[in-house]
Amino acid sequence: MIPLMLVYLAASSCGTSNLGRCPASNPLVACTELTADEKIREALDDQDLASAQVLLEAAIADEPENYERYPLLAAVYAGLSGFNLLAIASSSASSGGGASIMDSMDAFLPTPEGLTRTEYRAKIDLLGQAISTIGALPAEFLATSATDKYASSASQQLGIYQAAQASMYMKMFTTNFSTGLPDPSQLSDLTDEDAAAILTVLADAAASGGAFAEAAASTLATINSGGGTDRDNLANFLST
Amino acid sequence: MPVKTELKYPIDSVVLAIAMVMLFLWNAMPGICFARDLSPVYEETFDIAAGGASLTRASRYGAALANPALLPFSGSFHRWLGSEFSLHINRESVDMAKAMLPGSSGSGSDSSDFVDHVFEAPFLAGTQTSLAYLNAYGGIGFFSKFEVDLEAQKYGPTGLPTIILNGKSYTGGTVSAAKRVPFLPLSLGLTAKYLMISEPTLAIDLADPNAAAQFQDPSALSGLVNPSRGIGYDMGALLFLQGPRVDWRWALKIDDVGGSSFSGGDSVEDFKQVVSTGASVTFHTGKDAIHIAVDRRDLQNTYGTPAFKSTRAGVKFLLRGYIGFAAGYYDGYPSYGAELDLIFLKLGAASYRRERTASPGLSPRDIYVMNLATGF
Repeated sequence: MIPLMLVYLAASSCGTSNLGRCPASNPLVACTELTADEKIREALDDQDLASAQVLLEAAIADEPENYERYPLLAAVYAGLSGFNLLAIASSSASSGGGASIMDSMDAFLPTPEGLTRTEYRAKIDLLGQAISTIGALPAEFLATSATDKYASSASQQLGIYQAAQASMYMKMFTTNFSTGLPDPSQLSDLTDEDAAAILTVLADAAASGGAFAEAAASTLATINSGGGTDRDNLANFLST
Repeated sequence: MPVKTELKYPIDSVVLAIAMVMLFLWNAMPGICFARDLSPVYEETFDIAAGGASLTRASRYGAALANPALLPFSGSFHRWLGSEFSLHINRESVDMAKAMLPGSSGSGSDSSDFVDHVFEAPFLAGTQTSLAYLNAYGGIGFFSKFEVDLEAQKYGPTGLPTIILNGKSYTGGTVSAAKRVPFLPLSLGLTAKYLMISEPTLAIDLADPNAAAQFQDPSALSGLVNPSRGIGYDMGALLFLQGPRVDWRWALKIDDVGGSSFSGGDSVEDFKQVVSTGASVTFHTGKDAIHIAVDRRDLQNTYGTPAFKSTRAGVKFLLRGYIGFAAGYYDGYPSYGAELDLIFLKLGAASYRRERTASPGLSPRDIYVMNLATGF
């Protein structure tokens, strides 16, 4: 009897799935339901960002004061936008200096090649959602000098996402969406509203104190040195 | 691996029942339950292969920690004198080592390749050593277990890429005493253990240059291992009903009687008292045996242990006293292994999947174990 039970246990798990998973795969072992945070962790580890987004949004709606989930949701939005978090982590220490924000960010951002403007704009909006998710944190959970790892990380993420969004925004007006190559003629689509939005995000990135703050500040200073309107200054900067 | 076939004492079921009930009642008294998780500080390779169901049969030094009441039923006065070494490594690390070997497609690697591999799959490696002398009345032993688990998460706890290091360092010594209860097929055993334990955990946010730089200094890493020290006691009972072809065993084990407190070092959480029980049946001839066992750990759910972790079951096939095969159910997954007994040299291997948390399927590790024991 017992050997048959063991065979049954082993067969039902197929060697890969845990017998304790719900729904129960056999009546001999009670299953253990994963908590909301465990399901989120599983989705993140599987890099199933769509599921992670749904789970995190639901979990934050249920417990809005559980602030540890906010940076996770922001990271998911950034990941869905095509932003390469892993690459930026490995090189963030070497960024900064006098490089422009576009130079610093270029390797980590999704290329517009093959996308429509609407699709690329949707990716920029996802980064905007990442920024607003972090921005929803109370001040004490968003401090560059904080010793709390979540607060410190959230602050860093905010600066990174702001810099990334500014860079993607600018790329929209310097790149040919068909070829992926630089194309100054795209600047004709740049409006005053676009320019204002880009400079606002850039200023936020410069003020963030994060790893790309210096590059953002340097870029902003170069743009503003033009002496014209925001739109003209930005167009001049992007055309060079 | 001798198999006993002789019934030594008559069974007085009334006295036996009273003894067992007293043991249960003593344990159930309020105020003596105290705690952590069920991770064993020492576990024999062959017992792992058999699903970790070791309360009613354990190999060599493992008996002293699995259930000291096993000692009197070893079949002879002498039980074990020798040393052991085992290597634990996860399957992905073996694959990684193969890929990084010279001449392979992934050769020419450096530390960044290692990190890339860790982002693909976790790295786990560990060793376990012991030196012990055990006989039917007790014994003394020393053990050391060290394990490192390195996991990289693209979306870490803070949302940014993170490397998470979990270490385990268990070193200790045990003194065991065991005795059969006169005129009963029952034995009682006690193991006193001195433990030095360190369980460092570290999460490094890769996007934070300061965090990464902090651990480029080797002294920062060595400082993570700062053991806590404590003394604990394990107590066990074994009912052994022996027949000419079939034996029945029932075990009761109390780990860390009254709780085991630790001081100094990293202030490891105290070990709570845990009560476990196990049952087994052995079909045997004079030379061969099939031992089928089921353990249920943490009966009082002191640690909130889920069923897939607290239930352990397995089969050991012992052939001619020289070869053993085992298979079982460990942490919710199948386990298997084999052991070759060359009198003074014993070679063993096992494969199993360990669930690192109490969440089924969330963080499993496929682990290979190789074991070398010298002694008799």
